[in-house]
Amino acid sequence: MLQVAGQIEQAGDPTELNSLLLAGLVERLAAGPRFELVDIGPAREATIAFFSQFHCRLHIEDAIAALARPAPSTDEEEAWFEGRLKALLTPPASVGEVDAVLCWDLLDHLSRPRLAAFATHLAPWLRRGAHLHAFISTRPDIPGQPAGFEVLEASTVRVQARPGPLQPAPRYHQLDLGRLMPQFAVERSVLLRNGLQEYLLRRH
Amino acid sequence: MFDMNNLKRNTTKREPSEEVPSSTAPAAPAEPRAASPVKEPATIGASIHFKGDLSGEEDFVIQGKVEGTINLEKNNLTIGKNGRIRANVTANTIIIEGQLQGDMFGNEKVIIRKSGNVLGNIVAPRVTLEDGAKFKGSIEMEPKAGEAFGGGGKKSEAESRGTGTGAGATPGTPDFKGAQQ
Repeated sequence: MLQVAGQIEQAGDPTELNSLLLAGLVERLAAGPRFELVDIGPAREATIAFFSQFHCRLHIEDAIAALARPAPSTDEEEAWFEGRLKALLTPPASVGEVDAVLCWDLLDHLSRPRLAAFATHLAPWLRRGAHLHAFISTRPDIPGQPAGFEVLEASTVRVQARPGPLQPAPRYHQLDLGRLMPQFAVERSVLLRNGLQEYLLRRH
Repeated sequence: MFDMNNLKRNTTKREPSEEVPSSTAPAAPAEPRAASPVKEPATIGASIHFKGDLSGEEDFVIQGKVEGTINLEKNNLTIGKNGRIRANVTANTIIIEGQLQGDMFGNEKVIIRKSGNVLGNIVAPRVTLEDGAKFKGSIEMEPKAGEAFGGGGKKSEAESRGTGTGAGATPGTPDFKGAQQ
C-alpha cells in the first residue's frame, strides 16, 4: 500500500485534553448516591484509580479495538458486526440502570450502519436520561486505530495515539448523530483545541 | 473439599540458633524465646490441575490450573504467571499475574499485574490494575469512609452492603456482602 508522507500517525508522547463535558458529567454522577458506568475501552490503571474514589460500579468492556476492525468479508459486514456486538458488549446485570457510557473515539471508527447498530445495541442498557460521552474528530484524517484514553482527573483525559496509517474521518455532525442514533439527543458539544469535538448525548 | 490446613510441606520452623541478633537491640533476655514459625505460602505447582473447592487459613500461590471455588477469607492468594483459574475467589488480598475467569471478592484489595488476564467481576475496597493488564468485567467501587469524592457519590452504609441486581455471583449483591460480615 502506498503511503504518502504526512499520512502516517507517529507514535508520540501522550497528550492531555481538558475535557469540560466529562468533568460536568462526573460532577452530576457524583451528586447521586451511587452510579453505574460503562467504559467501552480497555481497562486503564489511571481510569480505575480515578473512579475508585466514587461509590460506583464500573463495567469495562474492552471492546473498542475489536469493534473498529473491518469485517473479514464485505458481504457479511452487517451480520458480522451484529455478532461482534453481541459477543463483545455483554450487557451488565443491571440492564436499564446504567447512568453513563464512555465511548472515547469509537464513533470515529464506525461506519454509518455500524454506528446505528451500536446505538441500537447499547441503548437498552441505559436508563432514561443517562448519558453517552464521546470524542469525534473534526479533522479530515484520523489514525487507523482508536487511541488509548484514560481519565487523570474529572477534567483531564490523557490520549495516546497509536502509530500507523491515517484514514479518512467520518466527521459526524450533530445531525448525523441524531439520524443514526435516534435513541439519543445531543445535550452539549464542545470543540477542543486538538480538533476533537467532545459530545455528551442524552438517552431519550 | 480440599483443606489447605493439611498442606504443611512449605511450613518451616526456625531453630533458635538461626535467630539473627540485632546489633542495636538490647541484650537478649536470659530466658530463651520460643521460635515463631515462619510460614511460606502453600503452592499449587505448574503441573497440578485441581478441580473442587479450595479453602484454608494460610497464604496460597497457584501456578497450576484450578477449577471450582477458592476461599481464603483472611489470607492472601497469588495467581502466578502460569496460573490458570476458573473459579470464584474470596481472599483478603488477591494478586493476579496469570489468567483468571471468575468473580473476585477481596476483603482488602485486588491487584492485577501487567501480565494478568482477567474475565470476571471484582468487589473490593481497593483495586489496582497495572497498565498492560487485561481485564473485562465490572468493578464495584466502595471507597472507605472519608475517601469518597466530596459529599456526593457517597453511599450509605446500607447501600454499600449491596445494591446489586444480579444473582448471587454478581458483585455487590446482598448475599455476598452478608457472607463477609
